[in-house]
Parts: sequence; structure tokens; C-alpha cells
Amino acid sequence: MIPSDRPRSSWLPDASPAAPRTLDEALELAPEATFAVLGPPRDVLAIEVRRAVERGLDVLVVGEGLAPSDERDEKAFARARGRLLLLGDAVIDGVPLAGSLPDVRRGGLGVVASDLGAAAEAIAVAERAGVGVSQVLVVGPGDLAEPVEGAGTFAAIARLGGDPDTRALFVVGPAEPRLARAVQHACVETSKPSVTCTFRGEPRRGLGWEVVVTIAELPRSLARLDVGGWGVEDGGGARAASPTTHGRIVGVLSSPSLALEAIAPSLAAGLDVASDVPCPGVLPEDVGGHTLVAELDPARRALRVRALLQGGGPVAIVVLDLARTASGDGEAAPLVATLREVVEEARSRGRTPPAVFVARAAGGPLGTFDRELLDLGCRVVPTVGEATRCALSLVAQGEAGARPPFGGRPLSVLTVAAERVTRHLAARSVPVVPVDWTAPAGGDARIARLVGLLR
Amino acid sequence: MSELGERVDAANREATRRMLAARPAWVGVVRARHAIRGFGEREILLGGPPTTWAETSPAQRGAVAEAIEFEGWARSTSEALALADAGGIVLGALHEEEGVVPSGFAVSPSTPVLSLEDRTTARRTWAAIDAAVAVGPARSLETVAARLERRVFIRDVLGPALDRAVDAGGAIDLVSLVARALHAGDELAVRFEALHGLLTGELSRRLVRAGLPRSELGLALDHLAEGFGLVAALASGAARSIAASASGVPLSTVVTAMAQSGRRFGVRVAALGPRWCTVDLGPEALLLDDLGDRPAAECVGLGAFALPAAPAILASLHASREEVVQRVLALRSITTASHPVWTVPLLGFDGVRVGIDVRRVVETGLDPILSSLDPAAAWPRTAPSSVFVAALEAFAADAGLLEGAERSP
Repeated sequence: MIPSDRPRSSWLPDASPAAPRTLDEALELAPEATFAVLGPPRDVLAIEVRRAVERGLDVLVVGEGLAPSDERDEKAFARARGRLLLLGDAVIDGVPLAGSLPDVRRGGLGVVASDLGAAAEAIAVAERAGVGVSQVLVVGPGDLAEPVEGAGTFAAIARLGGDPDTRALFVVGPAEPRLARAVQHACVETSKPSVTCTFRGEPRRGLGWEVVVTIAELPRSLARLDVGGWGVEDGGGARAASPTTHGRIVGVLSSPSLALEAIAPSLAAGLDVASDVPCPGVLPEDVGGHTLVAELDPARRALRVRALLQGGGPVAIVVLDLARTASGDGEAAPLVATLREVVEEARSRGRTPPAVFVARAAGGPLGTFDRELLDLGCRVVPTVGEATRCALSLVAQGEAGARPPFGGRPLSVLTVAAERVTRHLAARSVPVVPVDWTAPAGGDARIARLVGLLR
Repeated sequence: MSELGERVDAANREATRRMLAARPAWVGVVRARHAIRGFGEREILLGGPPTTWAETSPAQRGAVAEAIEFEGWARSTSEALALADAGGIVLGALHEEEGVVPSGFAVSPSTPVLSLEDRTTARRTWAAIDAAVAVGPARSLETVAARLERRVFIRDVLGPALDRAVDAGGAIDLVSLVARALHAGDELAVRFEALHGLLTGELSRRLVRAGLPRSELGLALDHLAEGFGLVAALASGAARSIAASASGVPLSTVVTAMAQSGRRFGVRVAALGPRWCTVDLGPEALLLDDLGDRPAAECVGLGAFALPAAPAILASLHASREEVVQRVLALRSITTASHPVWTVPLLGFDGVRVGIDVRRVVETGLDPILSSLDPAAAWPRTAPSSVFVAALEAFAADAGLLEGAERSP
């Protein structure tokens, strides 16, 4: 996790490089860092928070959290500099930073929540409504109250307002009426559709905004605001596939008619599609872009899948169909074996495997291959039409994904006194540099502040 | 970074630049009373920060008694101690006069001291030559009589001879000598074998050319061959000269001196000039070997900071090589620069780390490692954290920051 350009003993080639001891040293190693996840004790936490914000980092605090007066001061300081100061967890570009929130389906809804519980509830409700989320920012239960006065919430709303992935906002957390109104106004100022929920008052709505009383009301509001048309709507397919979703569609269907079933919506979605199936508007088959072909022979179908995946860009979305037959799943074997090879090969090279959608065209109980497909991370759906819709949804996200990541830079994290988070992010292949941190002067807050003034 | 932090960083860069630009050279040998202005008639100078007779350790008392006997102010150790107990001497610290004294040694007016000059700034510093042949615990086995006899020899024969030799051959550049010694297995606080070899050859040639009487020449060469006192003094003096060059840089938090005197450990910080910040180590400190001015070495990257240069020492430490190397590599977190000339082959010719920053020591909790002459001592021996906190508070008080530290950042 520590970059290899740290001083190293040539005499002891296996000696670990010296770990950074401070945030500044970690920044020397990872100047591209975007977030600091900080877990020092409360007495000295504010100094580290201030330093991280001064260095231009967004901050997520885990552990004991800030004292109320520190929370007020540091959130105001961060807000004035356009930086986030979050408490508990956050989902940034699909990654739950602290691992407390669940993985999310990516979509266009930006969530600002007062606490982890509200955030998790909002994510679940949105997903059930078929709406994915862009970012989830948890600002802390005391944010929309004195003495913090919503500084964290307002900073989060402003950031989501400028986030190209976020197409609508949902702000949830208990707030006094005065602050609730201010939050709603802040949302309106972003010019993005918004729903706010402060658990009090009466539901209200205006042009492009709604106020609800409970999180459960979110789906109706999203539908009225036409938010349901954004993001992933495949009922969970994207989650089963991969957080990395951009790419090209590769489909090898078992008959020309099923190929046309996939080609038609793809053309309607404005994609350039190549195929060996005669159809107005399709291009001659090649191996570069979206390709949907027909192949009757199961063994040859497996070969064509592999050939198509080897051409073009590294990420692909595969659409297949595998009929369950009375004679068993014998003919599925070559295709499943090929998929396993492709997925395992990608994993062994540290790459994201292709997202695979498999239509099991006949009913019946799940067989061995179904379970194997699920184990490989494939999404099994009933029809080719649904598999195609899932694929198109991911490609649409991919086009959105071509936009800059949150804050304009790929997620890269420094951690201070947050070993669990370090392990969690490393397991997610998120670039993370941990600071080998010791409390200044043994935790003496006064001396720590003195160091803070001088650094 | 705070605006003040940036100013402190800039000041530290300047302090470090001065240290790296220093070129201490050995230019002669003089008696202390001639070198040091205002040396009192009955004054004795110890290493480390200033102390009082009441606070001195048993080793320091022995050294003072030896110096009193050497000057002829008393005829026996007990008589010398009685004189000191009665307030018959003035106790000072050579550090106050930009000099270093080996632990267990005391400088009296007629004690010869090496004269060093920084060729960049013309600043003079002084280093006392230990009269003991051995270093470490072995030195305590030497008798007082033998040590007194050797002090007289150094004063009357070796000192003048070395002065003539240096004068005849020209000043000896210590920066390049130290660089060569680091490449040959010394860390220059405990081990001096390489520096000794390099210097003895050069000095022998010069002593022969200086035209000394045959009897004196033989004694001088014998002394050079058998003891490390001279090279230890030169290495320590060079370190003192370099560190002192950073003294007085406004707003710099770079450490310009670390030293122990009995129970008291002190540091000086560049911005605070000659002022010491000290802490009481407690009575248990007296059970360990007195560091005296030896930590001058670590102030400029030598000693424990250069341990990987000395595999022979590594083998005797109560620590694995990996542990030692990791701790040395970690010094990067508390120092300002790598020395461009003093490099360590076994660290891929990386420079030793110089410029201990008080802020970073307090911030990281990484106390500077120090050399220990006691091979049985636990490793690492470190400078006490509390002295850096004290120094930071003194610095902050000077900068008017103490009130600000009571509030949130």
C-alpha cells in the first residue's frame, strides 16, 4: 500500500519502506489523494482535520468523532474552502469509504444524510424504486442543529450540485424548521431536482423540489420529479455486474431472432451496432464496438464470445441466452466454461471482469449452471429483452462514467489511525496510503494544538 | 499549511542550508585558558548543559576531581572533592563557549583543546581530548594516576606536537574525512576505527616532518596508535561546529545541540540561540552512561543516525538489523534534509539525515535515537520526548503562540 519510492535499504532488500508518519508525508507519497479518513482520538482530531482540509482534502471522520465545538469550527472552515467534512461513512463513486454503508447501484441520486441509518434506508428505498445513487454523504447527526447550523449539509449539497454524476438530490435528517427551509433553499439553488426529508411538518412540493416527512415517501417524489427515469433500472443487475460499467456490448445469441431482439433496442438507444444478422442500420461485423451476433452451435458460440471479448476495449458487457432444455444443461457447458475462464483471467490480472447478463429463456428450477453463473457474478434474467435493457443501462452509465469522477479526480485515500478502513479500501483496490500515526506529545491536546499552529 | 508554518519551514531550510554549508577544519591545539575568553582562574568546564555541583553525577564528580588534581589545586581525589564541596571551584559548561567535552571528562584552564574553524563562517569551536585510552565502560578500569599522567603528557608533549603538525601541514578538512570514515565502517559516536586509521597516517607523516625530538615523537606516535581520544574529539567537534552554524536563525525549530549533564538532558533550538531547554531525567539516568556532548553527533546525522554505516556495531546491539535500519529510515519523518556528502553505502548511498525538527519530533512521537557506549543497554536509547515538548513550548512562547494553543486550531 505504500508506494515503492520510499527510502529503502539496499542492504536489506526485503526491508519495508519507511511508512509516512504524518499526513504531509503521506501526501508526498500520494499527491493525487482526494480524501482523508481520520480516526484519531477526539482530543487531537480537530488538528488532523484542519490539516487535511488545509491540504485540499475532503475528510471523513471515523471513530470517536469531533467535539461539538470542534465540529462547528472545522465544518465552517471546510465549507469556506469548498471541502467536505463527513462523519461516519460516505459512498464516493460507488465505494463505501469506511465500509459501514452497503455497496450501491450506481445512478443519478445524490444522498446527503444525517447518519448512517438514514443513509442506508435512503439507499435501500431508492434502489427498490429502481433508482441508483451517485454519491452518499453522511454529515453527522448534529449537523442540522446548533452549534453546527448545517455547515456540513450545505457544503455537501453544494458539492453534489456541482457533481456531474448527480442528477437529483435527496437530503435526509432531522432539522428545526428554520434549518429545514434553508436546506430546501440550498437544494433549489443547485438547479437540480431535490427531495428533502426532515421528519416533521407537512409534505410540500414546488417546481423541481419536494419536501417529504419520511424516507418511505421518496419513491413517489422521485417518480413525480421524473427521477425514476435515470440511473439503473434493471432491478439489481448492475450490482451483480460490477461497479465499473462503461464499455461495449458483446452479445452472442442462439438464434437470429434473439439477436434481433437485442439489436432493436440497442439501435433505438442510438448505439452503433455491428452484426452478422441482416438488419437495417447495423454495421458489418467487426471486433471493436457493440456487436450482437447469432450462433446456433453451442461450442462455436463459446469461441465467438472469447474472440469478441479479446477485441476492442478491456471492459465489455456480455449478453447471452442459455435455454434450459429437457435433456439438461449439457450444451451450456462450453459457454459457462468460457465465461469462467474470462472472469478468472480478469481477476487474476487485477482487472474488472466483464458484466455478463444471461437470459434463461425457459422456466424451471435453477440448475447447476445457474448457480455457477451466479457464482461468477453473472446476472441471470428471464428474457433476452431484459438482459439487453440491463446492458443498455450500464452503457448509458458508462457514458456518464466518462465524466470526471467525484471532485474531478479519481478516488485516492489517506488514512490516519483507521486501520480497518485501510484494509477495507485496499481490498476494494482503492489507492490508499496509511499514516503510521502517533498522537502528538502522547495525546496532550494543548501541545497538539501548538504543533498544529506551527505546521 | 499555516502561514506561520510556512515561515518556520523556510527558516528551517535556511538553518539546514547553513549546516550543510559548514566546513569545519582542524586548525590547531591550544590550552583552554588561551582559547576561551574569560576562563576563570578556578573554573572547570563539563560537557552538556550547565549544571551545578549539587546536580552532578558521580562520574562528573570524578572528572572534576581529576581536573582539580591535574591543575594542582589539590593533592588527592578526596581533597579535590572537598574543595569542590566547599565551593572552591566555578563549574561551567564548555558548550556555552561552543565546545564539546567527552563524558567523564572535565576541562580545566591548562587542558589542551582542539581548535576547529568553520571555513565558511570563520566560527571557532573547541573539542577537549579525552585522556582515557578506551571508550565506554572499559575507561572506568583505568586508574586515576594513569589518566593524570596522560593528561600531563597531552598538555606538555602531544598537544604542542599536534599543534605544530597541523600548523606545518595546513588545516585538516573534517567534512571529507568524516565522509570517508562513514564509507569505511564508522558511525562516529562509538566507533572511530576508520577515522583513526585515516588520521593517524596523515598525522604521523606530519609529526615526523615537524622535527620533534625522537623521544617525544615516539611517545606521540604511540599515543596516536593506542587511543581514540583524539579522533573522537575531532568527530564530536566537527559535529558541534556544523550544528552551531544554524544557531540564531530566527523562527527555525531545528535542533542545534543535544546533550546530557548528569540527570539533566537539554536541547538547543536554532531560533532560541544559546538558550537551553532542559528536563530532569530522574535518578535512574545516572545508572546509564552519561551522554555528555556525544549527542552532538546525532544533531548532524552521525552516531545512531548513521548506524547502518557501522555493521560492526549493529552486530552488538540488542536489536535486529532490520529494526535498526527501519528506525534509521524513519528519521526522515523528523529531519529536514539528507546530507549530500555524508552518505551510507549500505543504504544505497543515501545521505545521513540532518536537521532535527522539534515540531516533527513532537508531532510524530519519534524521539531521536542516540548512541550508547554500553553494549548491554536496551536499544534504542532515545532523547527524552519531554525535552522536545519543552523546547516547542519555549519556541512558541517566544513566537507569542502559547495563548493560541489554548484555543481550537
